[in-house]
Amino acid sequence: MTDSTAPAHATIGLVDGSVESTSRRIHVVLADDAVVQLDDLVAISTELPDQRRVVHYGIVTELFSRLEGAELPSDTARVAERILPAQHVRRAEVTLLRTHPELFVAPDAGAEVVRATGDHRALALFEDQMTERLPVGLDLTGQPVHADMKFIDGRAGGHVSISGISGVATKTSYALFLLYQLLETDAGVDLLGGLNDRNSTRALVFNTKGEDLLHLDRRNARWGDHPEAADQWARLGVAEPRPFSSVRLYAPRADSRAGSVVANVRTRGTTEVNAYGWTPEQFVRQQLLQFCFTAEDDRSTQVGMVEQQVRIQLLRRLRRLADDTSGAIVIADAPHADAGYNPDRLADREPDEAQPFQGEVVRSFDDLIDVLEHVAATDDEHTLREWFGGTTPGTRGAFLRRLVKLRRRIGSLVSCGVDPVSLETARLHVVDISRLHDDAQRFVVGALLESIWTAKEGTGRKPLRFVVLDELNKYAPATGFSPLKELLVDIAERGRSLGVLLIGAQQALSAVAPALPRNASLKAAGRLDASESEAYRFMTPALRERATRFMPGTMVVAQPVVPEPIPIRFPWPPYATNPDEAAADSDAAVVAERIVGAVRAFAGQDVDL
Amino acid sequence: MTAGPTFGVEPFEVGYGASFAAQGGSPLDLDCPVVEDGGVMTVHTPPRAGIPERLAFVDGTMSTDARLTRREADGTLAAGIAGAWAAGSVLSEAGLPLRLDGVCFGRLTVCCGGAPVPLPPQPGGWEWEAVAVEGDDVEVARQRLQRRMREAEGALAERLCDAGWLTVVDGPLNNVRRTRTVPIVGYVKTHHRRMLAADTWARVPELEVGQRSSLFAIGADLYGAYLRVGDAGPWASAWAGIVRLEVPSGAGRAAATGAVESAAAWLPRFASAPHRDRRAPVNLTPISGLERALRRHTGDPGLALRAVRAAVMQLNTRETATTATRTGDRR
Repeated sequence: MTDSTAPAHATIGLVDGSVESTSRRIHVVLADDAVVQLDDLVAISTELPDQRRVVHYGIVTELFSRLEGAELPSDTARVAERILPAQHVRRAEVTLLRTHPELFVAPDAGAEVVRATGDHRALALFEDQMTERLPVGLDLTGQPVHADMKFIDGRAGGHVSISGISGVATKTSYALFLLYQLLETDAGVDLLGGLNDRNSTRALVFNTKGEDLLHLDRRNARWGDHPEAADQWARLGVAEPRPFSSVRLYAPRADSRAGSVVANVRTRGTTEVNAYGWTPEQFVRQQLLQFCFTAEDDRSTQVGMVEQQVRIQLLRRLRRLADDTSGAIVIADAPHADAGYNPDRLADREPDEAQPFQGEVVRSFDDLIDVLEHVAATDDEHTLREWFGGTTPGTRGAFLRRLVKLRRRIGSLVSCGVDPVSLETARLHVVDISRLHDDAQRFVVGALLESIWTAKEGTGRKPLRFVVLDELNKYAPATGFSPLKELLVDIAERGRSLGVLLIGAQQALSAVAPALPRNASLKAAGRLDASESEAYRFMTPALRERATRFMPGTMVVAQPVVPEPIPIRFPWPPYATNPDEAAADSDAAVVAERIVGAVRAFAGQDVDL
Repeated sequence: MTAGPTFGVEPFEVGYGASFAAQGGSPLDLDCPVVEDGGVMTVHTPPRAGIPERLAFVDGTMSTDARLTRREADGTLAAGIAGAWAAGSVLSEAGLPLRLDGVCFGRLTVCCGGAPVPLPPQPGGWEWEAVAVEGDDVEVARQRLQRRMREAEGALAERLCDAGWLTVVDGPLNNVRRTRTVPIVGYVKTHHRRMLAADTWARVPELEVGQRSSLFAIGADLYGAYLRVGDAGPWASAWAGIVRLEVPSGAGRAAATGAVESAAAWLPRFASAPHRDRRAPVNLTPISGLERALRRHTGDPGLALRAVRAAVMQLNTRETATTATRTGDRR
């Protein structure tokens, strides 16, 4: 990157002098033998009248071909029939990315245009200004494209927003591709600040479709169908791509009358996946009741107010059930004498133990509903006022009806003896919410984000917490209000300084609360819906139109330091991104587990297999 | 049918002059003898034929950029012009797209009164060769510029002929050696004088599209024939669409007849369409394309005028300076 004044490479054409070139956009008349594609990077050297030399770098954003000399459409046939002389002229529209040194001038009309390769390519993409470079994909010629790590890890910016149509836009795959490079590669170790910092970094991935992401620790059975992938990974600096090595999987606890705690999972053995849920104590202390009321209409009524009142009252009366370690609680008949009304302060307090007779024992979501129904049924004005504020019986009824409706949706997640999702022991944590009802999905996402957020508030940026969440529009819709949306907006706005970094994905940007994409440093888009493309202001109209025709695996990435979004591709993953890709492995595992089970049943529990 | 007059629209733009200017008697009128069909003007319908394998169209353009004056110390005034000429060709080779070739061009100042106007070169590639002509008629100066263009056309046509191209020259064959034996065709769009006996001449408009007249001898070394190259439309005058072909007589009459017969067969294919060209159909499409290309070579007339002005200013300043120096010397 030393001598940048004279790009000495193959000429691809001349700056078109028949139209004006500007400091932002020029046209290039291509040489007869030049093969130029969209997204090719070019350099133009211009000598200023004061003998200084500047180099403009640009990206090809459109290509044109015409017969010069043909003035009317019908002239085309005359040229083809060899009646009219005409010259075939090909032109490229180039959007300028950078002037080096930074002088805001236009390239000279008629100046020679060369391909920007090597150091010139790095300058064109501002890579000289990136001290720590995270590869974000390969450009369409197969060269790596980088983003500046300080815009990823929260120092200068954070959050990633990925948009595109489901199925073809490969949004989740791209999120995983980014995580893989951070969490699994040697470069990632450096980018995250060394091995210790890397090992304390956590990524929480919500699986929203099938059981697709419950196989990331397995090799991709279709790896062999993509012979080019190994080379592409090598270009990204990954010599031996492997599955994710440090993964912990979670699935919701399966419905069980007997109270057993087993993960509800089909494509993996139940021993490989942790069942998750919250004990009544966790439910109350983490104030998860608020995430039970996240549907569109919950906040437009008084129900939200009742919820807040009830949540505080539960905290004020919270006791631990004596001699119990499963998380059961007692909702005491009377609150602590010194209990205030600040929910966060109440939640911080270690609850006292209580005997069952001191109140009502709660071991499940059902029990909790029972408690509230009993309270609501009382005639004691004072108790009612304490629990429900000054609300009418109608509002109380609505609150309870909604809670009852949630029983089937959330009920199994709140129970004694379950473990919540912990971010210990592994770097990547995949939480399956695909089989849950929308209400329950919002509950889980809200509960987990809240715990990460609370844990990180006050501890500073490191260690980093990445959260991958698809269908962001469901959790933070553009319109309406909910505690979950509030939390996500808070994370978007303050998360980067606290090291909570959201990798959010959505089909349609316009359906998501604007604060989320606005705060994302890295914006990526795969194939876009044509009717939707207006929302993507960070792309030029031409690129938006083009994005409606992107093939799976092609994305466009916009980042703060590079003024134009760059189309990229990313390689086929070495890890399985759905059960089919893990087929060979998982079949074997399921069969093996079945055999172990059968042998155990035959031999008895004591036999050590 | 009554013998009343019929009316017609001349296809040419005013700027090009009329395509037919041969009405009325003129001392230049000729009575060229018909040398085919027993001396009787006959209409021939040549069978349609394919375009020759190697075919070249040669043409030139010229433009007057500025009018100049030269005022001597004694007050005598001479007029002149600054202008540009260009010549080039379009080559048609089987299987390849048409292409431009042999383009050459230049700028000239031509001044009357025998003394030139030596304009200094200007930045941007403006350069003039200074030429003087005798007399005081600016038209003579203009003809001098045209001669330069015709000479270049002629040289290019000769070169292409020598290289084996069947060459169509836009205009009469004035600047081509008349004794040539290889096929070369002059293509004349305008009719400035009557070339046949009056009664024969009157029958020329009988030609339909693609039909040619009998061959006639133009002097000793050229043969001519009329061809209706295209339909100028029902509104057009009787001569619209008719061109005169010229071939050298060096190869003999039979060869000349053959050349005209075959040219009459494929030339109509190149006739231009009225919406495409003000001079349609006689201005051939490849030639109009060539002319546009040549005009691009001679540059923008507005810029040319600006360059002439700048050069004149520079010239005058220098003259004044030289005079001043001389005056100083005398002291």
